[in-house]
Amino acid sequence: MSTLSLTINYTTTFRDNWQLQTGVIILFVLIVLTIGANIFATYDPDAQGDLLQDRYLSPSTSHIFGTDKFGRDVFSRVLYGGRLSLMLAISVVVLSLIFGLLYGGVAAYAGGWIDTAMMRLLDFWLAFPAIFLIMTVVALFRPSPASLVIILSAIGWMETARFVRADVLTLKNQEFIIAAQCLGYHPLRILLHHLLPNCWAPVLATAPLKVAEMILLESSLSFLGIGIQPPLASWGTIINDGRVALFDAWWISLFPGVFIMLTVIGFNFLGEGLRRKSKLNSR
Amino acid sequence: MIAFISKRIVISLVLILAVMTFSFVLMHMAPGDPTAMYIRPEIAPKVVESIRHQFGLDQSLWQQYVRWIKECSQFEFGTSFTHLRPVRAILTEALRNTLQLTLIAFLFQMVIGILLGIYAAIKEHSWQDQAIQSGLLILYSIPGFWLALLAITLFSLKLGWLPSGQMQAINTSGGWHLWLNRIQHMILPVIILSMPFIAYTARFMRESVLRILKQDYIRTAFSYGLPKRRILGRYVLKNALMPQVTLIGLYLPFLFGGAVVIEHIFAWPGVGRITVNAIFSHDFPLILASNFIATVTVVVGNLISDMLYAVVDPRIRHQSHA
Repeated sequence: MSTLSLTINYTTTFRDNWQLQTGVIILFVLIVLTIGANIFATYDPDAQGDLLQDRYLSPSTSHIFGTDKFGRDVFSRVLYGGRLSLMLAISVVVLSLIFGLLYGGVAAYAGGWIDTAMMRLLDFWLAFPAIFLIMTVVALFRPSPASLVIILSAIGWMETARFVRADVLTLKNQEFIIAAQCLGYHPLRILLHHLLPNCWAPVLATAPLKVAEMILLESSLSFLGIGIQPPLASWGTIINDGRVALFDAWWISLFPGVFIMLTVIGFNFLGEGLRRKSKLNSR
Repeated sequence: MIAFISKRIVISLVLILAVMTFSFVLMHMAPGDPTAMYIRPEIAPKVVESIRHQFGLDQSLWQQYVRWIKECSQFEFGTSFTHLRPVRAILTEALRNTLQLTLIAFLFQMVIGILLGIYAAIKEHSWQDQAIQSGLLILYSIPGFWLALLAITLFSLKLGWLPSGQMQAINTSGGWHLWLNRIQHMILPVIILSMPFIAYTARFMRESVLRILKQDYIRTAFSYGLPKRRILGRYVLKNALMPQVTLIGLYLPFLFGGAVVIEHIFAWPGVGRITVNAIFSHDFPLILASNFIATVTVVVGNLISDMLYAVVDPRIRHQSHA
């Protein structure tokens, strides 16, 4: 497995990789829409409308996704919520990849009892039921976007660490590393400049799939009421807002869900395309 | 082999103990007092004090820990703060409900996933294969909780075909009526629960079948002119199903932990739903007990998976002998 990941073979180009194309196009549109929320959103996402006239309006030209029970414009909320959801998921993945890369790298390069101890600690984290950890921590301590990022990163780094460790273990006995050691370089320099740059490509290829996973996780947590807290909008909380009025105001829950689905599909296609591109059979 | 297995078992036990200790500490570090709901003007402080005494909350943390570990080793988890019943009774009941749901979803996804995977592999690179693969990708991109809401709106509220939640209608008496009623209640949650798993299983199955189709002994079988059906049925399928078997251990946490979100939406009285409610009401014994179950299933599931791997694949078995 680890030798496979070393031989990245760019056989397919962007042109004939339709999954990569689809993913990139979907994500481009979504990211432009959410990052430019201030431009595209026609209303303030938190501004409440007239409680007599603006509540539960069905989709129309002035409110293309309708309004919710406070008369807020659902389209604007979906865009701003999407910005939060996307930023959150991406920061979680960036954090957990960096940590996993360093953790796996240090464990493998140090070797000996440090490696054993670090891997036992990793087993411990893996055995800890993730969903219970999140729910307990988030429900008992005050949840905020920042604390969500930390807790979600804390449960997402183990796979990367294992992957990197396996890679570094095979790399560290190769000639160029031994040469660097003979030159008397500091172990940290060898790790950061010689070992990790050689294994981050396959790790990075897993990033889109991880972002997809995190968006789903964050939205279901927010839906349960233990993720992003109102009045902040995230896709999960908007769906939860619409839950009480599903029968009459289906649009409140429908549209954010469509956005989640499209984003996750986009990231999955991107990840799948990258995997195919690098001919990486990561398991 | 025996030394290997016993070492793994010891490590697993240590792991479980470590996770339990950590969750115990975490729980008691958290702000919020489980007896807070009794602090009301009409309840005398003395009464609250005696309630704290009854739950053992007035003991030192160390005493509480030792008592709790002792109880857990006998599979007694104390009394729930909110239900005021033994945690073991609550969880046994919830587990029975969860298993009904998860086992059926598990079998359903296995059958559908394996069939789809085999079909896609046999038709590799054809439009059917592409269609199945893209379909699967979309399948596990759909947020389950959202689909559940839409399904309830459409099938329960608008069309009135299926019930929107719970396990059975209140006034159903025993016999086949009850079973029919239960099956009706299961249709939506089972389908929605199994969707992402169908995608995983089918993808995994497709890869396995493709890997085996490229083996020498399959080419030999083809060159002998054996009928295709026989090659697929006898040589390919059997070997492709083996890795699938070893994955069963990894499903253990799902089977016993239930699906938190789906149980929550369909008001299914299972472990997931009970745990969510327990967390919201700071019901320490109940949270710790379901955490215990979850940990044990993760650790034991991994153990089973590793062992099945050795049992199923003689090559690995002989490797560990050497």
